[in-house]
Amino acid sequence: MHERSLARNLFEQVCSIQREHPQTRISDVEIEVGSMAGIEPLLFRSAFESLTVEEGLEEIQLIMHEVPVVVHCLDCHQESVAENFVFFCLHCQGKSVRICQGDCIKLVSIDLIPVES
Amino acid sequence: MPSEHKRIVVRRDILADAKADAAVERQRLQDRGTLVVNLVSSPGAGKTSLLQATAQHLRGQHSMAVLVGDLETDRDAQRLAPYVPVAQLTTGGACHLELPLVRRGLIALGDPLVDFLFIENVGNLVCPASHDLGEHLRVVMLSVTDGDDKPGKYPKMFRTSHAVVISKVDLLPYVPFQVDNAIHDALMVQPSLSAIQVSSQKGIGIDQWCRFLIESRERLVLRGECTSAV
Repeated sequence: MHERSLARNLFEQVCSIQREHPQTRISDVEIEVGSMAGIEPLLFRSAFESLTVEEGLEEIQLIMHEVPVVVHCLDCHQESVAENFVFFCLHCQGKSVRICQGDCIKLVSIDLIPVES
Repeated sequence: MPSEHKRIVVRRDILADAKADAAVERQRLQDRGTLVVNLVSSPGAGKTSLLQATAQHLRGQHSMAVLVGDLETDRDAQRLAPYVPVAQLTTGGACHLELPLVRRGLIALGDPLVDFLFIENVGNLVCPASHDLGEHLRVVMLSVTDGDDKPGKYPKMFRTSHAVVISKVDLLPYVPFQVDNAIHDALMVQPSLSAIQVSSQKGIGIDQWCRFLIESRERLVLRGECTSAV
């Protein structure tokens, strides 16, 4: 299950960012999960939460937004949602499209709160 | 958000660093004249058999090496060893290959100067789709015994591939696989896919497959038209 591997990747990134801000701890991690990110969101959440427990950081809240695949048309330059993973422009029916959202897990933001020294 | 909170806005793909690493490796191998092919499929679609047939077809004309990913055993590497330099990448249960494992395999092979480097990924149509291994071509194999409905079921894999190889076509008379349906569905997901039909056992389509490889190397590596993975 590669959700565990990707969750560890995310966990290490947020810890690395937190270390740049001494005297803080992580309260919230906000992510976007695209419908073509290649993961099952529930399994990803479970994997991330088990990591936070293992590391004694179970106070971290994972805020997850699921987002659809959006394509940008290289012909008419408009954007449309790729329903059912059929990749063409809904405006001009063109097939030359580039995915501009929904094919990855995006780390959106991290909330840090101060800790007593 | 209470005022003492600090929000760090990132807005970045969590695999961005891994993708940047893969781009560096892709360029390094491209500069050496090597086309890297990431071969993906479900288990048993015939990846190893296709590579055996490819090695025999290209022998004396082009050099190649293979990195073989499997959860356990080195059986696939043993099958390929009589034909080409090969290193087994055993993942110990992990469902896909990642770039550090590929680099380890290249070191094990002595970082050979070859025309083609094939990475036979772990048999899985889900997880390998998310991991850029520094390949110039991602080729998804679909065997006629797998069923023709797979492009719609595994859209990310087909969307991120450059070619689909339909394998075991000698078995078409015995299975309810519709080649046209499979190719149509695959093209709905990725209109730029090249489609090639092969039977490694019978030697059907191997010439066309190897021509595709040679032309891809000339275009992507020697003329430098490769700018990134899919």
